[in-house]
Amino acid sequence: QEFKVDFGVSTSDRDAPIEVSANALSVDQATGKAIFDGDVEITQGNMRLTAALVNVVYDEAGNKIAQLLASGGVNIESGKDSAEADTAEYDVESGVIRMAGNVALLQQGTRITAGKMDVNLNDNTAAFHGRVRTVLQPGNN
Amino acid sequence: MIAWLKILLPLAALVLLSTLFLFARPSNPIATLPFAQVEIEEKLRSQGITEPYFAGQTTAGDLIALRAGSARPNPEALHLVNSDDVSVDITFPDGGIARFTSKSAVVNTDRQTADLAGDVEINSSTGFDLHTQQLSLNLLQGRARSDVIVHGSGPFGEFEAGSMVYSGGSEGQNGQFRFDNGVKLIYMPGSN
Repeated sequence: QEFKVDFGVSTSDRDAPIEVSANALSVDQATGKAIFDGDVEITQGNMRLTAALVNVVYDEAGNKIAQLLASGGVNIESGKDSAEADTAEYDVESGVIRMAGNVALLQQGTRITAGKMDVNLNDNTAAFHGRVRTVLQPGNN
Repeated sequence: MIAWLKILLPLAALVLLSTLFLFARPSNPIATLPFAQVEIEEKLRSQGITEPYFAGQTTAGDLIALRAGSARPNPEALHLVNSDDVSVDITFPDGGIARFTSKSAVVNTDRQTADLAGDVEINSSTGFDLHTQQLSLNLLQGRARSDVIVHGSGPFGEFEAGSMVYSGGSEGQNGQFRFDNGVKLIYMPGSN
């Protein structure tokens, strides 16, 4: 079943510039495959994603980014909300970030965990899939 | 009378022919070549080679070719050759090419390295270009390293990095460009 909540503040638009910073970037000479590693931070509008490693996936033509695959513990912040998971697939064209593995969303003191979560940057919602549990943490928001 | 002519005429021809070489104007072909004196002095002073070309194979099996506008060995250290407008192509088994160019370079023929300086550009056939001010290239292993800021642009956007190492491929493993000391990239989703 799907359970939806608001997530973060509205970012400008899908075509806002994406900034990536990392300790290192390696690019394969033959295939052009690019991998950022070491404190990788991706920001677009007011969404900030941090991860240990990010793989760049190109579109078929090979001259645009189709996806950014973040792994090694991912954290996403937007406005006052934050979400964490083991991995996240940011589909640049559709503006959807699919998070999987120990997914947890922190929002005004409530902590929602689920199997998977899709953050939609266009309408600022987060949709949960799989077993969803909400834990109210009184008193610390 | 005819009999006499049969003898006299060939003899006359012979005499005529022989005098041809005797009185010929001694033309000295070297002097007529249009060599300006200045050019000779300049060539002597520089003792340079124009358009030197060096090609070989790196230990990784990639083809490597170095081309320069001119090359002048350093009189004090002959193994160091100062060259201008240098271009080094590394061609890979799959046909890909990484081209390193710069305004000038010092080629060390003992250590088989080339230190490129001044508008160093790297163009890779996978569609990204790099620009830096200094880069040292190991011609034997087909590896390169730059310890100064590198600017780059590619399908994944414009980026800047603190330093860069290009490690030539080895069996079954492609060459890798690795950018270190902090990388910042900006990608415009809407544009290209």
